[in-house]
Amino acid sequence: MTVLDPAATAIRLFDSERDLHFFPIRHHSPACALHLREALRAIRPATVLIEGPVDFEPLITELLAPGVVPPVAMVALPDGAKKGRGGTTYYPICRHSPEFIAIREASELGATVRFIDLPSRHAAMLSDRRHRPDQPLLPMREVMFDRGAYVDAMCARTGFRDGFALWDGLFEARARGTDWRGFFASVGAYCSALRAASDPDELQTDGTLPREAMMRACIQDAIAARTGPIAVVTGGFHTPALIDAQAESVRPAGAAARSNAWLIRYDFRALDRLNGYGAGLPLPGFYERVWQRLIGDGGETGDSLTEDILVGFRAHLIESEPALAFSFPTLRSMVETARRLAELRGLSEPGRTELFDALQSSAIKEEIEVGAHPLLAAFTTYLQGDRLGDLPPGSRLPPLIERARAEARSFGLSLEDAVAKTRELDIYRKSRHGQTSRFLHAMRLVAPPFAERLKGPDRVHGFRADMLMETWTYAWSPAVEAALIERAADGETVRDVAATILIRRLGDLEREGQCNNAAAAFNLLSIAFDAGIGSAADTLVAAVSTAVGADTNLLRLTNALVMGQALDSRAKAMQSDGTVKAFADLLPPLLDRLARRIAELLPDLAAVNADTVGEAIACLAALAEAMADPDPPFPARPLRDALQGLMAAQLDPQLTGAVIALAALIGLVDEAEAGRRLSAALAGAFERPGDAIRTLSGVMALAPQLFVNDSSVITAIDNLFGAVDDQGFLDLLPQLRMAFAELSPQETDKVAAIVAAAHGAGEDDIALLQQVPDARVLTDHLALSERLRGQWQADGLAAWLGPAP
Amino acid sequence: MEQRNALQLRPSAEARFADELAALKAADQGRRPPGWALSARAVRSFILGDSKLSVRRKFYGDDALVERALVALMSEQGLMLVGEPGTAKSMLSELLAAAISGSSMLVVQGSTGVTEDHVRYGWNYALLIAEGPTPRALVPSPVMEAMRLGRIVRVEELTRCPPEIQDVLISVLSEKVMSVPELGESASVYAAPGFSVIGTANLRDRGVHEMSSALKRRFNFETVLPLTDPALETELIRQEVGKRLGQAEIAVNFPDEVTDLLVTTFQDLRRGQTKDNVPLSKPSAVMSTAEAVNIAHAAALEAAFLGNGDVGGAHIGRQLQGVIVKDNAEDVKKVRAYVDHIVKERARRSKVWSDFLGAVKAMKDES
Ligand SMILES: Nc1ncnc2c1ncn2[C@@H]1O[C@H](COP(=O)(O)OP(=O)(O)OP(=O)(O)O)[C@@H](O)[C@H]1O
Ligand SMILES: [Mg+2]
Repeated sequence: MTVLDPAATAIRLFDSERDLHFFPIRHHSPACALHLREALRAIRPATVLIEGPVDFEPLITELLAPGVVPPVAMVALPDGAKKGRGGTTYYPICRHSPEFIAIREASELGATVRFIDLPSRHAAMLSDRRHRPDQPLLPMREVMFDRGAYVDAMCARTGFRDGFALWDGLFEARARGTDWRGFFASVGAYCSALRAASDPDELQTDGTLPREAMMRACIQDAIAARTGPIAVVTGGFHTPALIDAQAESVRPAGAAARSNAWLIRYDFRALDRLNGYGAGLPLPGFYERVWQRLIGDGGETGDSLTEDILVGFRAHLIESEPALAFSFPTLRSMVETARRLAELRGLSEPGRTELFDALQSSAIKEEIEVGAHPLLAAFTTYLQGDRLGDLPPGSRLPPLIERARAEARSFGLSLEDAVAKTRELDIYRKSRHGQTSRFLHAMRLVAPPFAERLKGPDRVHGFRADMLMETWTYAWSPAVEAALIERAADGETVRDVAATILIRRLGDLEREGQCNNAAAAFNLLSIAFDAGIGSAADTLVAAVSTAVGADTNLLRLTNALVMGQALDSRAKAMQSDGTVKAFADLLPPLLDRLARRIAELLPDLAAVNADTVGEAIACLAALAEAMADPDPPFPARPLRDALQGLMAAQLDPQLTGAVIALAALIGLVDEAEAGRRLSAALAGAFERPGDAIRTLSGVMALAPQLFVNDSSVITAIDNLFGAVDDQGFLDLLPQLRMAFAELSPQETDKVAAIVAAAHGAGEDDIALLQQVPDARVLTDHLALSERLRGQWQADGLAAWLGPAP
Repeated sequence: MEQRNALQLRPSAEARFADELAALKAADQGRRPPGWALSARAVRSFILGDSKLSVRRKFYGDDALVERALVALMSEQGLMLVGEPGTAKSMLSELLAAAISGSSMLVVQGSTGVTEDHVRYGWNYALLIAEGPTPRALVPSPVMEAMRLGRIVRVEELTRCPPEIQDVLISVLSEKVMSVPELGESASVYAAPGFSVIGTANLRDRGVHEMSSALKRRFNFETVLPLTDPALETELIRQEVGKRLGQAEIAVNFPDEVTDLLVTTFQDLRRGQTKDNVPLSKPSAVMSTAEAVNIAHAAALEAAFLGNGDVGGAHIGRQLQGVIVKDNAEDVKKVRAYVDHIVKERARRSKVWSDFLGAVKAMKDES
């Protein structure tokens, strides 16, 4: 399928007169990499110029060091001082990246390697349109290969489905050819057509033009200093703008800026996420396999790449997702299908698209919803690959990574490999364990892939005797380093960065109009405590204090009280430590404020009705939890007074029950008094008898034991039932069932015994009832008996209803 | 067979596109799979178009699907086209059969009433009584015919056939032979090269028989999805309506804006979301391209015969009513919400949309 008209867009790539050779490439393209390798070996350049930020040049030596295993990335950290220009710059490198091959070949040939793009943090490099300010920055984006008028038109003409398939079909399929001149001529023609179809204004605003001015200037410099042939390796999109570099060529302002640049380990998953932003060909795992084949590495098995990949994928499924695995005959027909598809599409062998098509066609025997099928998703993940890059031991690392590693080691955490390890911490009794816990909590914030807590006291329920220990798993991996890199601009120590993150989250709350959310603010404070971030304590406490004053939502406030109390008890139990102390001193005034605020708002509960009572009950339950502490870290007096007031008010029945229960729990009334009040409430006159039962639900939600202990309450319920007929009872049953659901089986038995005794029933009767499989059956049977009784009476058979003679 | 042809309202695909097929055949340089009338690439061109040979595109949307389908048929797998109603499954199977076998007329129309006679063979009873079981008395099914001739047999709505009929297909597809014990112990029909089965089914249909996994194994499945690209759908509707009106020699003025309105409405309701991602409730009615074509056609007829030949928003509005409202109260509510919120907005800025709104509203008030 010759679809290109090279004559129309051909550019003069190889200028033997000037001994200047241009190689238009696409990032992460094995075909470009291989042809480039051959070309460089043929030309033997003295200088190789590469599209890469000049400030990354010092990293080239590091990249060539023995022990470097791609994927790695050159990164530049944002300058902390410049607000709004966040985001780390990434220049990812795979084994099959043409730039990597160029650097390696050049070094073998003894050629000078130069990066010729603007510095990574130059304004023109930061001007691509990003959705989030901390989104990664890419010096080389190539979205123009994926979409646009030209790509669409080419797809329509050639029958390829999208820009990637088009690229694969036109260029990756030609990787094995020996004619590198012809290959690059086609790439060049294609790219200059792409360029001709793009919007010139866009090129100015996205920084392309100033970058190319820089590249031209660098090429001129190289020509001036020439000692032999020069090779220029850049994204094909730029090549047309570089070829006729005239002596114009002043470097743009700021071209000499240095940055905070590092070489880091990288991994294919992270790399593929960058590809989502247009960094290059997707699915690095696939293209790396292609590359290994091309260079004859990785043990020739005699099988085709198609077979290799599909066989490998099947084995992977059998191992990890057996439910998705396909049979061997299916595998055979898949390989066959891939081949035939390639033939039909005029390709010499199946590519990525053909593999996906073959899989879909042969293995999926059902309807597929808009391209989404678990098998296809699994294949994508498989081809994405999970290779981790590596650097030689002792490599220079950005300070945050260095510090994090050092600190982790100082706590005896093992960082030698990426295998997950487990650690138990006795956080209250051993001070070193407490510190380790705080470090791990801080790392949770800063680099989440590092550690995960499996067990430990939870933030809300805090200090419990059975929760003296924490269990963690952790593993140091490139993903951790990548996460740290992304945060590196926020500070030099884990704790500083964690503080910045928390303060930022607080800012997010404000932006979302949540600065009056006491529970959310308290949660942040709690996290800060766990992570031992004393430096953030003042700011957070001030914010919480504001939130408490502004919050009118009782549920959030009461939840905050529970959290605060838990925090307080944990702070007291911790071995003394500077950071802990900062919190311990700040908490009491805060809790005082919180308790008074709740007391102020409690009377509002009088307005609660049946629709909103659920939330009110939850508030009281939270209060019950906080006030159960015999020596609470907040003043109980105002709260008790407020409750007293509530008890005198006319409330929704369910709330009445809950208030009585709470009053009894905190000793505001004794149990006998609670029983009396409850009986009175139950006997109350409501239009619907169900309402009285709701009082019970209220009690049960807070203090079921109260109900079980006081048989006068049970008597009151019993009386309530006496007042309704059987139909009425059946109507009440659902409400009743709901209320009793709170009781434990033992408690249920106890109630049953009391009721049975009151009615003179023996244990046998209870046993009989217990054989009823479930309440619904009982209800049905009772209803049936009732109908039968009515029927017999109507039929003059009332005598049958009496005891048998 | 000849008689059946005479009764047909619509000529077969091979008759309708005889010119194109001839042109493709003449230019075809590709290798033909055994028993095929054309190379796979020529069949692809027949279905997806080839401007150099003036072959029109017939199936829009998923080109890769057509390629996979061709490869399945080349590999002697059956091909099973599944998907919602009106997504051109039947059309595709007809086109494939016409181009590959030169004939799309071997069809089994699936239903609960399908018997073995329809998939194996029956007998001419007069001859059977007169001569006994002879080859002359045997009445072959389309499946048997296809095997004998090395052609494609199409089984429409395959999942509506009773399971025992589906089972016949299993042995036909795997052994490629059909025995006729009445004609002697070893009497069988062997499938000539080129034989295959294309089934179509709507798996979400109620009252279907689940396919056995043994049968599924013998088919490659392809899901045909409704068109998502408004430009393609617009092009398709224009072309189809133009063809239908052309055949009847009717001329109307069908402005682009009206086609846009139709396509937009269909895409919105089908996706449950407008272009600007405003969510809405999807009606359960089938909003297929086929329905859109029908609406456009009916609207054009109304404009031609009851109006002045200018198709407007009002015509579309009145016809849409027929598709959606039929007898589903829920759908009526959903469409009403769509009209009240989204169409009303658009009606402020556009005459076509406001005519559309007016017509839909008027119909509602009547009902
Ligand atoms: N993607 C498409 N390309 C071309 N035509 C289409 C497309 N989608 C729908 N159509 C139109 O819809 C018409 C109806 O399609 P067809 O009857 O083949 O659908 P079907 O999927 O078999 O429906 P059913 O499930 O109801 O049998 C086609 O003849 C064609 O005019
Ligand atoms: Mg159909």
